[in-house]
Amino acid sequence: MILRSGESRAPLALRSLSVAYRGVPALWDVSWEAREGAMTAIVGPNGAGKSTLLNAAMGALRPLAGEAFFWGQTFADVRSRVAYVPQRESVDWDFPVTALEVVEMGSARRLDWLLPTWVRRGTANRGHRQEARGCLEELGLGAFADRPIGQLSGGQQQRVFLARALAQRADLLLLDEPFAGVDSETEGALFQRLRRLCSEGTTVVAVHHDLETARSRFDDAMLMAGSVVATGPAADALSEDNVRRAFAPGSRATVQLA
Amino acid sequence: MIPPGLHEFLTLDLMPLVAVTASAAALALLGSFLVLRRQAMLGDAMAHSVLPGLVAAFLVTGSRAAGPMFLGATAAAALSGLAIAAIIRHGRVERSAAIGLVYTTMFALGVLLLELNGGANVDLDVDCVLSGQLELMFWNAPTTWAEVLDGSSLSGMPPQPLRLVGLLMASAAAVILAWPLLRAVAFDAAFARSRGLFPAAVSAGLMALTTLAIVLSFDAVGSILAIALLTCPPATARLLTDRMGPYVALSVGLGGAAGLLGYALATRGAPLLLGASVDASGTVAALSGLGLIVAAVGSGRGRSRPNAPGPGL
Repeated sequence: MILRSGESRAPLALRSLSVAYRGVPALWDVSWEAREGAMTAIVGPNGAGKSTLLNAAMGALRPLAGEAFFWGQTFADVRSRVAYVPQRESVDWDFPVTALEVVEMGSARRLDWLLPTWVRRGTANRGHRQEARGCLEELGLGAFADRPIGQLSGGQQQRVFLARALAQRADLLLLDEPFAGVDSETEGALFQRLRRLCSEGTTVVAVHHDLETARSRFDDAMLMAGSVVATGPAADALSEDNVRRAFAPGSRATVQLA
Repeated sequence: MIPPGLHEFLTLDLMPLVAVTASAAALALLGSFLVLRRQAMLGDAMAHSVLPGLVAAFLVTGSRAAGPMFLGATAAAALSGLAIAAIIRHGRVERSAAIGLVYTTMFALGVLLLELNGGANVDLDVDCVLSGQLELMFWNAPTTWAEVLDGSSLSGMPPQPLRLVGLLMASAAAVILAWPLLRAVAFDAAFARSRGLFPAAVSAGLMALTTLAIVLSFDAVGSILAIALLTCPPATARLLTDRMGPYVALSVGLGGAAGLLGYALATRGAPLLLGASVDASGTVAALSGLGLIVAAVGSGRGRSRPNAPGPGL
């Protein structure tokens, strides 16, 4: 619980973060802060380093240089306050696990990670099961709790992932393309749910690919192409001009040299 | 008096039967996690690439003691891992090609080492690498019930079956203890890492147990069995259920059943049908493969997996 002096208390603050894969830079000198209680979209072309940014912030990737702070502390100090939803491609959706079991991964605390439920029957783990079921119901998936996730549609699978994040009762949500494969109706419902979380003080940072909804649904945006192109209120940061610069061919190289 | 028929069974068959069944069940248990993570190839590679380490350990110590054999196997497995990483990095080939390249080379190296030293060591040859030494696992079984009761005959038991039973029980205990953790890490490693669950350490632990199972099985039943049992029973079980608990339990059951039935078929069925008994390890392996074929045809799931990840998804 040591607060680095002079560090911002923002839910997520990146300081000159640079990451390279085998000598090829993927993220270059990124400094940025997420605003508390706001929904921020991270936008950029393919290979802009959006997922890399989340992974490096959480320490899953070792940065070349720079640091990431969560409320002024390192990720390891506050990991229980941060919920992460990885890209849907990173998961095998044919895995023999039920929707409820996935959400339980979010509500599990310490000893819940040990022993299957049939051994622990009647002990403290009932609480975290109930919590997981509640989160599923909240996203309209109560009837699917005991279905293998492979039998759910892509949109339902994304909702299961979001339910798992909700079950963590986190203060910061890091979402990597949370609306991939989600139909527009479900997307609207999920945005509403996220909006309600924000109004309760939760901060949402989402890698998002659709410029239209990034402008209309998010408060802030961080436009990047290897390094930061623009930040600020979504409509301003994602102006035609900025977007053209970020998505122009070769944008990454020019931005890095700049 | 123990009847002569029973005494013969106890002397000749009980220990090999226990060894092959425990080994098959343990390999199927650990293999079920490899198959879940679509790393079956890794188990296959492991079973092959530990051979030079085993042979080297044997040549150095002159015995088949489990400790040095495990160290040798671990060293060989680590070396293979490094070689695979180096080839991916510098050879610009895909991962599975690199694995295929390394494990065949390592296995060939092991066989070569064996052949070169073949004259001097009757204890370890290519045959025993492939199918183990089940037939040497006889037990100086008690001839009277009194001997059973006072336990005096226990000392004459061969060590391998007991070791394999111990391995099976330890693996089962580890899997049950860490069940939610294993599930989370196998399903979504990135998420597990974000929760501070050390997926790399969990994988390494599973891999170490798998290596140990391969080494102990190798000593008893040979590498063919290890390779088949790591993959076939889990793949069969996966076709039959969509729940993780039943999947792992079924996998262990199928492995154990293949062990029991395969041994019975090789030592009792084959003499009736073919006029001579056949290799038990090979029969167990073949049976587990046959089970997979039957399940694939019977379940019809082999044709379409709606959400199976593939290129372009």
